[in-house]
This record gives sequence, structure tokens and C-alpha cells, in this order.
Amino acid sequence: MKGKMFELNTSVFTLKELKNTDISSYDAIYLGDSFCRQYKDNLSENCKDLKTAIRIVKDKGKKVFVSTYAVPRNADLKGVEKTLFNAAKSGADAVEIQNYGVLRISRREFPELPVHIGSLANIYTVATALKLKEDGVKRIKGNYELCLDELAELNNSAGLETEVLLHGKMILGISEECLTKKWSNKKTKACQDFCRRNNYLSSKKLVLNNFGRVTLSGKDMCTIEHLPLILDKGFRFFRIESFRESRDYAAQVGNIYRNAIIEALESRKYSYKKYLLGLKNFSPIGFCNGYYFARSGQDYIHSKK
Amino acid sequence: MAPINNLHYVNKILDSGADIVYGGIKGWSLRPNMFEMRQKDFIQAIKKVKSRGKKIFLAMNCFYSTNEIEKAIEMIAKMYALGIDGVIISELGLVGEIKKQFPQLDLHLSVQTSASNSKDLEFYKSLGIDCVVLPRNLKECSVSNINKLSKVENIGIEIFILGDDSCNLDGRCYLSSYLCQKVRHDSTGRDFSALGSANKSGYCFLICKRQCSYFKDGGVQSQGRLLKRGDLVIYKDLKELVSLGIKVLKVQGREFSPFISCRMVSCLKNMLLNLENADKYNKTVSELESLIKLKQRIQDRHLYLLEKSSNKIWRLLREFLQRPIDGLEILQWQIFH
Repeated sequence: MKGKMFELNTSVFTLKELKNTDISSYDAIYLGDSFCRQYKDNLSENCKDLKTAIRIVKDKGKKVFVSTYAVPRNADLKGVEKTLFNAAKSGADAVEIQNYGVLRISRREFPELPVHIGSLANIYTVATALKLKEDGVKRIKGNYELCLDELAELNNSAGLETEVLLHGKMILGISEECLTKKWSNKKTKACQDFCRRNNYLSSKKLVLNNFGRVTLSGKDMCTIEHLPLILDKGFRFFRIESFRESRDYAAQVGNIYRNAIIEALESRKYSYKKYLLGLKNFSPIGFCNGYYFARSGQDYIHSKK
Repeated sequence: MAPINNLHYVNKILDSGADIVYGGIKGWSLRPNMFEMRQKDFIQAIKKVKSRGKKIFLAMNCFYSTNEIEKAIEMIAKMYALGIDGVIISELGLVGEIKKQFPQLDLHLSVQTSASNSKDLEFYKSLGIDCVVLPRNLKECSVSNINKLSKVENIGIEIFILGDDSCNLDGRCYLSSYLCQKVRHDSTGRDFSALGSANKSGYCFLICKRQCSYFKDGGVQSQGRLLKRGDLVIYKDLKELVSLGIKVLKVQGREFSPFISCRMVSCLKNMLLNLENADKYNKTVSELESLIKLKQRIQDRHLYLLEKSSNKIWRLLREFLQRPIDGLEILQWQIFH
């Protein structure tokens, strides 16, 4: 994808969320939660809902990708294989994979199904990306810790679609157990949906969001100020991470970024301030630039202009 | 397989019963510089280990940048020429070149890759990996899961039987670089900063072991070391693990005092030799448990420093962690026994 074409995508985890979200700003949607198989009505785990969801997104003329479980043990492999089967059968445009065992299953059992590799697969170098290209991978998401220059090198040298995060919370870790359930003091094995509530973890100089097994950055990564630079470096596949956010967040943030990208592509006088104002309402902890400028993930730096 | 971080302890750790030792060269391994050996010390260590007929592995198990791959291969070539038996890596981009240039080298995949299902192992085998280090968090599934993984053909399994555990999966934790990262490159372009990503040989700030507060719906729900998990203690299942034919049993600890590493290795070797002798076995287990308590106490001091100290922390940490533990602690440990 070159010139003024681009793809803006986000993720939706359940059918109910999909029906309640205005996805008109997006070109593609990732369906399903990669991080917890127990998440209620998770589209990756529910064949019937997944079919319906794929149809809804396709009817709106958008691409649809299906996320698979990120850290499967042997006991999870059958479930993951079923997700791949459902994605292939229901006409998904690609699957998102974070685990190399799942990649092996996908390439062997469903060779026609395009594969996107997620950020938890730890792609740090062009050499790894080229290896994955040999295995038939279509798109990669470099590790969050890569700076913009390193991501640009991946984008330019590997010959693969490189997706970058534009806005939202970064995944900073994934655990073997559900932490919110552990801290809830309720001794029950069943999922109580604590991760759908507003959870924060605060330590000295650090605020984190915790949702069950996933630890997210407290601050929202925001690149609205740096969009011209990101576009100049040749990126055209963009993700808005709306993990466990309100559906209003997904719709509004998507809309703001779509308008901003179009303005940055078409006009030399790009002004981010009006967009930043709209984004601030959705980020109570504040913004960061992630690792894009080879600084601490929670830092925010302003553009040089 | 036991860690080395100090040239003077190489003989001692071999005397303790290690069959293989592994260590990293400053700037090229997962651990920060302060916990690794200088290149010239590592070369001496190779000579010492080889003269005693044991094996030595080079840990090159951090994730590199694209422009560091070539230099990493040069480093492996240099150590290969001096006689290392194997190399531990995380970066998949290195595999093809290593297999092509050094086909005799035993290639182990680091714990950082969190390989945890049979298909993972098949994938890594297809790349040319000889042995995979299983993630430390696999203790949740324990021996039954390890059993299934050990059935994957033509690939060895290496497990940590003693070490730390983290709330996040190995190689899937970016908390430290989110808190603090200052990337600095040396003249060769290598990122040598101790304040870099923990996946790229930067310092791990042990955020998962610190005091924190958990807020739910606006109010404090709980406080304490909420993300902390206990130590990895798979050694309790030693008999079953041996019967599964695990290729390598490994002790973590390049960041610990060599004194502790030596004692731990000695205990584990005793346990392995006395699997059928319940009396001797149990006596060694209790000795090992008191060592683990000692290690935890040192780690608590380490945490205290991290939580209270300023930028001068690196010098203090080196003082605390790289020297053998002080006489008082050795005395306490002996009295405890």
C-alpha cells in the first residue's frame, strides 16, 4: 500500500461490542481476544458469533481478521485449531497469530489463510521477519520496544506489510494466571468478569492497567503529533488499540485519526492541536509515545516544529 | 547446567557438580553488563572448563537489533574457534546463519521464547534448534505438561529446576523499559546501556516484585507485592523429571552470588545422586530450602535498594550482588543448619 492509501484497524472482542460500535472510521477489524480464552463471548472461541461478526463487518465493506490465542499450552491447541478452522470457513481475510506453534498449524492445515504476526511474537530484526516471510507470513507487527527507525527498517527491508500502533494502550506483559481474579479475594474458579471493570495498578512512578492476564500501559500511546513523520517513513497499516475500552473510545479515536491521517497526507499544513483536544477526553492518565523515539515507554516528547 | 559470572568461581562450580556451565559476555547476553564476564575472562573460562573435560555454553540470549546480528555472529565465531560447545539464543534471525557456519555447535533456544506447546517445539526443530529451554512459568502445568513436550521427537528439553519466577511470561514482559529506558550505542553500534530493554540486556527493575496498589472502580482493593510470585521450585519433582529423560536440568543465577550458585549446584547434584536414598535426599532438600531462603533475603535487600535508591543504584547493586555474600550471612546459614 503506497501513496495516499492506508489502512486503519482496531479490535473488537464480542458480538455485542461489535453491534454497539460505530466502525465506520476503520478499514479493517480484528475480531476476538487473544489473551484470555475464558473472556465471556470471546469471538475467537465462539463459532456461531464469529460467523455473524464476520458477516456484519464484511457487509460494511471492511476487511476482517481473526485473532488467535497468544500463549497456548498443549491443552489449548485444539481450541486454537478450531478458531483457525472457523476463520478459514467463514471467509476471514487473515488470522492474527502471536505463537509460532500456531503459525505452524496454520500454514500446514490452512495454507490459503493469510497470516499476520502480532507484537508478542517478539520480532526485533529484519532477519526474523525474513524467516517468517519464508513461512508465508503476510503482515508483521514489530515488537513494541522497537523505535520508529527500526520499524521503518523492517518495513523497507523485509518486504512484508508492517503494522504500527498509532494510539491506545500497549501490552506490557501477559501472565499465566488471571491477576484480577487473584486480587479479588473471591475464592471461585469461575470467571467473574473483573477484567471488564476499571482496574489500575499503581506503583512508584508507574501506573498500569491490568485486565486479567494482560498488563497494559496506564498511559495511552498517542502519535497524533507525529503523524507526518510516521507517514513519511512509509507506514500505511495502522492500529488503534481499544482493548477493554468503551465503544465510544473506539469510534471517536478512530474518527479523529482517520481525519488526521487524511489531513497529514493531503496538506503540508498539518495541525494536530484540534485532534489532541478530542483525544484527551479518553485518556485520564495521560499520553506517551511508547518506544518510538528510543526513550522510556511512558515518556511523551513533542515534535520539533 | 550451572551459571558462571566470575572467572574465579569456574573451578568451584565444576567441583560442586556442574556438568555444563553457561555464561555471557558483557553486552552480548540477556543479563546487564554488571552480571556478565569480560570477554578475556570468558576466554579463560573456556580454557579452564575444557581442561577439565566439561562443557561450556555461550549465552547470546538477548534480542538484538538488525545491525547487531552480524556482530553477534562474529562473536559466536570467535568463541567457537576457542572451543565452546553450544550457544543459547533467543533471536530466531540468528538460527540460519549459526547452522550454516557452525553446524557442530549445540544450539539451545532460550527461555525468553516461552516455547510452551508441542507445535512450538516442532516449529523450532524445523528451524534447526537442538534443545529448547522451557519457560519457568510452566510450573503451573508441572510434570504432566513437560511430559507431553518431551515426546516431541528429535529436540531436547532443558528446564530450570531452580530460579526466580515472574508474573509475566518469559520474554513477554516489557515493564522495565516502559518505566525507564535510555538507549546508548557504543562505537560499533551495539546498544550497551544498562538502562535499555530487559529483553535486550538492559536492567530488569523487578517491577513485578515491588509494592503496589490495586484500584478497582476508583477505590483501593488491595496493596502489597501483588505481582510477586514465589521461587521456581521444580526440584521437588526431580525423580519424575529424571524419568522423563530431560536433556538438561538448569540452575538460574548469573545475577546471584557465585557462593549461592555453587551451594545450590552441590545440593542438586547430591539429590540426583541420592534419588533412591530417602534419608540423604531429604537432608539435602532441607539444605537447599535454607539456601533458597537466603537467596530470597538477598533479593529483598536488592528490592529495597531498587525502591529506595537513586541513580547511583548500579554501583550499589554491583557491590551487593557480584561479591560473595558476607561472612555474617555464611555464618547465619551454617548456624541455621
